[in-house]
Amino acid sequence: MIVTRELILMLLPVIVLQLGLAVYCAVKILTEGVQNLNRWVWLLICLFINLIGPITFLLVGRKRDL
Amino acid sequence: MITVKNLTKNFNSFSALKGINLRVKKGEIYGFIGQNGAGKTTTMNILAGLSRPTKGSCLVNGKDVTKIKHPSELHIGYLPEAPRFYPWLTAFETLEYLGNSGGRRVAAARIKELLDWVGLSEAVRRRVGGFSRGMKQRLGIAAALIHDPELLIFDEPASALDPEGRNDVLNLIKKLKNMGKTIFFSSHILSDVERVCDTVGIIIAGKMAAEKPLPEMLKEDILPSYDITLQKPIDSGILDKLSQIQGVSKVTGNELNLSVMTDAFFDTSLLFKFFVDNKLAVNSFARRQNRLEDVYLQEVNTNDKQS
Amino acid sequence: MINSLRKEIRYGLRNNTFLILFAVFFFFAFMTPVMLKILPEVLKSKFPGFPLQELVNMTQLGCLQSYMGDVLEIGTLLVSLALCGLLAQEIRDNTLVLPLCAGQSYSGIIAAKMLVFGTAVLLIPLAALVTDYLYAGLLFSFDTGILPVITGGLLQGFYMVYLLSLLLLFGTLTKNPIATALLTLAVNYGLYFAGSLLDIHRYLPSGLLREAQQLQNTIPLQAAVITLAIIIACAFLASRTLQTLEWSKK
Ligand SMILES: Nc1ncnc2c1ncn2[C@@H]1O[C@H](COP(=O)(O)OP(=O)(O)OP(=O)(O)O)[C@@H](O)[C@H]1O
Ligand SMILES: [Mg+2]
Repeated sequence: MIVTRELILMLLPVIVLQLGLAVYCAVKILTEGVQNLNRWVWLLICLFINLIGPITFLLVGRKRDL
Repeated sequence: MITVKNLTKNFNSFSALKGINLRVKKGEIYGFIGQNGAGKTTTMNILAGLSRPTKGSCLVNGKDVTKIKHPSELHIGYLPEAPRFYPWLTAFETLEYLGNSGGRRVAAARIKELLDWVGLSEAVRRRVGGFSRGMKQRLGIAAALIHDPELLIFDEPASALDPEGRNDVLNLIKKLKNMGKTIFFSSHILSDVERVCDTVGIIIAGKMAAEKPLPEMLKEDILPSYDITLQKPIDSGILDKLSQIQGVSKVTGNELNLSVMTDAFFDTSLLFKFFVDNKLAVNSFARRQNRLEDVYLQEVNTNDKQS
Repeated sequence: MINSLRKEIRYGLRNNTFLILFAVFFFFAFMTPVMLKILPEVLKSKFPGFPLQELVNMTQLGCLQSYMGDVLEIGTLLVSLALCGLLAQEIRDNTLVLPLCAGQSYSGIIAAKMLVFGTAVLLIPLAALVTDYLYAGLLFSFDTGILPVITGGLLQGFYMVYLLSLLLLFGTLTKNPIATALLTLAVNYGLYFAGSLLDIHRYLPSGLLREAQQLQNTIPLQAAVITLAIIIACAFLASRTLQTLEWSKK
């Protein structure tokens, strides 16, 4: 894979989106807590799995108490 | 305000209610008591229009619950057994949402006042997801009162509350009665029922065992029992002999404090003769006052014997 | 009504529903042009002499079509998963009991959800498609008009509203979020498959997606009318089913 300055520039919107989601989820994980999986596992999932990671967390991993 | 005739409810093959009759008069506090699984919640859900009877008729506020299209047509305030809220709304937003439902409007000041009334003034802006069970119960009471209904149906309003909370709720119920409201509530805590109710209904295994004004209920013929305090501890041999006296049905307690349950026409002199014969000094001897608990336990016992 | 709408909007904001929809559609909107842009370089370095131009349409139009393919496959999946709890979870958790006692009408509950989330699933795919159009134009060149893109985005959004109505109906029928999502996806992919097999896309909601992908600025009238009818029928049935439910769950 050719990693060039140009490629990174092209991917910038995706990177910003992904990074924003990951940070948002990380803050949620650390401040609000998690369910279904360990919080560190969720943190790794959110930081290292593209898009699907944070979305999976937001759908099933978020702490929700009735 | 509530008239229930021969109410039956089956869940598949299981019959939860087997012909309930009850009547709640305007302006009274009606206490609905019964064991776990007796059918209190089932009855109240039907009276709130949330569940349909299998058979029988229920008039609530003059409306037949089988003829309504929507629960709110009954114009009651209902507190479910375990009220469920949206965890992502705050207490204030919850009441605002509920209050402004069905084309009605509720002022912010009234919501604040209500939350204050039920003791949640500290939690107005907090999300309900973080509330304890007791706090949710209080919010549930506020929700039931939001449209200021004449008839209130509360399913175990005090069960999740701390002692002060229970006290608060009982006082609140009395206050509501003084405002002219009718309250139908269920409870396990018989002393609570005894404290505030005008009428008591006992439901056992889906059937009404009794329904009477509280004073009459307490006058009920209850088998007498006596509380005795001795000066010196006695050993269990003497305790055994005591329970063999003719007419004594049960002896409970420890070596100093005894409770003696007897048959209906027991001659207490037999007890005193026993004390004298065994040289037992008695500090106190008293016939126990009838409490709602005794009436209730007796009803449960007779029912157990019948079945 | 404003009261109920505000509640649904708060739900969408505080449970990240809007955020998820936004992230999914915009991720693909920004991703596909880049993928298409770097594809030739990757292939050139790995398989020299690969007949690329014959297989992939390396233009703005190609980007838009590739993006729409992603939306059909993954967008519908994630919309279903993100919105499956909308009604099913409420029924399962008994959270509708107090609103009903307070006077919320059955149809009002459905209508509020349809309005708020319908608007979201209509506008977010539209905005994402326009973004895809602009970004692809930036990376390649602007060789397509914007009007077909807007029409295509609306058709796609309209399809998502249809998915939403299915989610609400199955939510009341199954009272279970996962079952709701699975049923909706089965209908979604099933009808698409049936449409291709029998060549009847023009009578099915999937016709909207097919037409959107053509970017011809045409509206498939039959498919649109049929989809609208299905949406109304689903919303109506959902509110009727809600009315027949008993709220005495253990
Ligand atoms: N939805 C239901 N499906 C099946 N059985 C039910 C349902 N609801 C209640 N029951 C049954 O009906 C009986 C009465 O239940 P109910 O909840 O009315 O009791 P209760 O008097 O309120 O008890 P508690 O004091 O524990 O609240 C129980 O045996 C219960 O298992
Ligand atoms: Mg109960």
